[in-house]
Amino acid sequence: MITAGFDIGTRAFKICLVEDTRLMAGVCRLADRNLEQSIRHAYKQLLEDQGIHKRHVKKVIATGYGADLVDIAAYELSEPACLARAAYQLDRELDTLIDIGALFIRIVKIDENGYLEDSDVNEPCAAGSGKFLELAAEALAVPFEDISAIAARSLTPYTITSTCAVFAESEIISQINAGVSCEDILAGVLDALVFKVQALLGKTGAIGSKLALTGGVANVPGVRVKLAAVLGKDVIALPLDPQLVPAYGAALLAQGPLRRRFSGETDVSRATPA
Amino acid sequence: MVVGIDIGSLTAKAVIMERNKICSSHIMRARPRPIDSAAAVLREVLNAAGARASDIEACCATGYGRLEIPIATMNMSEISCHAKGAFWNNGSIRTVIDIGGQDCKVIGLDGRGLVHDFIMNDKCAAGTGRSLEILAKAIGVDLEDLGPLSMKSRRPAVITNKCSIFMEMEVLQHLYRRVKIKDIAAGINLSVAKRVVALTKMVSFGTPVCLTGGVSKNEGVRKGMENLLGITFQPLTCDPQIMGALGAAVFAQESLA
Repeated sequence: MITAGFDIGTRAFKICLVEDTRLMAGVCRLADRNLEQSIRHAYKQLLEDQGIHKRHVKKVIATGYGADLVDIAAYELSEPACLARAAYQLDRELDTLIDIGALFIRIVKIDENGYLEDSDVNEPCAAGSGKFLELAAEALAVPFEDISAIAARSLTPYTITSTCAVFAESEIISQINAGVSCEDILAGVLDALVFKVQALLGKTGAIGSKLALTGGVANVPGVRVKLAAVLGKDVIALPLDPQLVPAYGAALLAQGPLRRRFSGETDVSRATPA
Repeated sequence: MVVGIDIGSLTAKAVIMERNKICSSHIMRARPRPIDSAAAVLREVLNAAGARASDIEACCATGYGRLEIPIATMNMSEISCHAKGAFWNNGSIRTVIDIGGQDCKVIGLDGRGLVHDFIMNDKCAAGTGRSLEILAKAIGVDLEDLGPLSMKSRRPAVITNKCSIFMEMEVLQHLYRRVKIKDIAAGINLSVAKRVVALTKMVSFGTPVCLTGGVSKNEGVRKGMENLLGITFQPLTCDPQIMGALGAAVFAQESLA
């Protein structure tokens, strides 16, 4: 059975096509003013590339901030539910997912049976989010994909004192003018981001043993390395574009309730809590 | 002749006073270095007054860059200067609300014009000029037009987030859903008004009240705050944005007496 998952984020939208549990194809595009039209267009393109007719897609589930914009979706599910489902599929040992998107930072805890246990989000403050990293990179005129490489060269990271992402941007500009090097500032930006994630992790109780980083910020390897060092835990990279994980989870959930083996004798099926 | 200089995060202001009267004042965009801003704004204000640098007997600096101005003979905090300037303007004022580019403060005054209570937000951009600037940019409106535009709105857009960056996203969502620009502008102004009003609840708040700082020129924020607080702001005899520099000039004048 083929199903589709839509994840409409604040900065980008992602669509995944799944057959049983296999990811057939996924797409990630930046959101623009004609969001609804762009989503429809990207979906059509994705189906065409795979040579599938839209009636072959049996069920569509949407998630993300703009989930209500997907009119073909059967229903909407929360991001933590989708993340937990995808994590269970990708690596059964994962117990914590850290999803850093453009604005939201989510901590998703998964219990030993792969169910969503707990989740937390950074609202109402954008400090430490992808937008913060983007503002910093823009202020320094550094391409987003070069952030880690440049930050890795720093020997004396600059400590950012502003908590607010908006003020941190001004602080960065004044530090450039004061002659602080680009790599020291970027290393400081990554430190600030990791510090924020660490604080959020602390709020959700005990930190698990195997963590994974997803969302757009996971494309910056420096974040994962620093996070692993600060937490002293394994933070793995998933075998999938980290931005596609929630959409993949949504498509998996559209496949129907998961049959999980608990005792080895009886199959128990239960819907993943939303 | 004395001068007060206020180097803020976005603008630099200067006021020249002689015998307790304002001779000239000037507002300009701040340069990256406070020392350059101070030199430029001083030159302009001297030109406007037709005076020379040697005529200045005392110079008081205020604002976040106040410690880096070599020509200043003294410096005072923004809190003291705003209180001083407002009290000099109107001796009945008991509360000064200042909304600047990067912070906002509520200052309580006693009957002698002395600061007896204040609260300041400089940790979060919400409720400051920066927030307005970001949101105006998001809807493609000039900062100066945000006030007049919002006054035309009958149904302000609802903006629930507190963080400026989250608000930017919310504003973009309104744009996607084809909400009228004037209604979004009104929503933006109201959201800033709400944040500042929340701050006033945390200090002893006496009336009459005056509103100072660059954002006070935005009618939408001003009217929004008046409605939320159920008061009308005291009119001021000078530009509300120069209040800090004016207070500094009054301090410089007092230092000579």
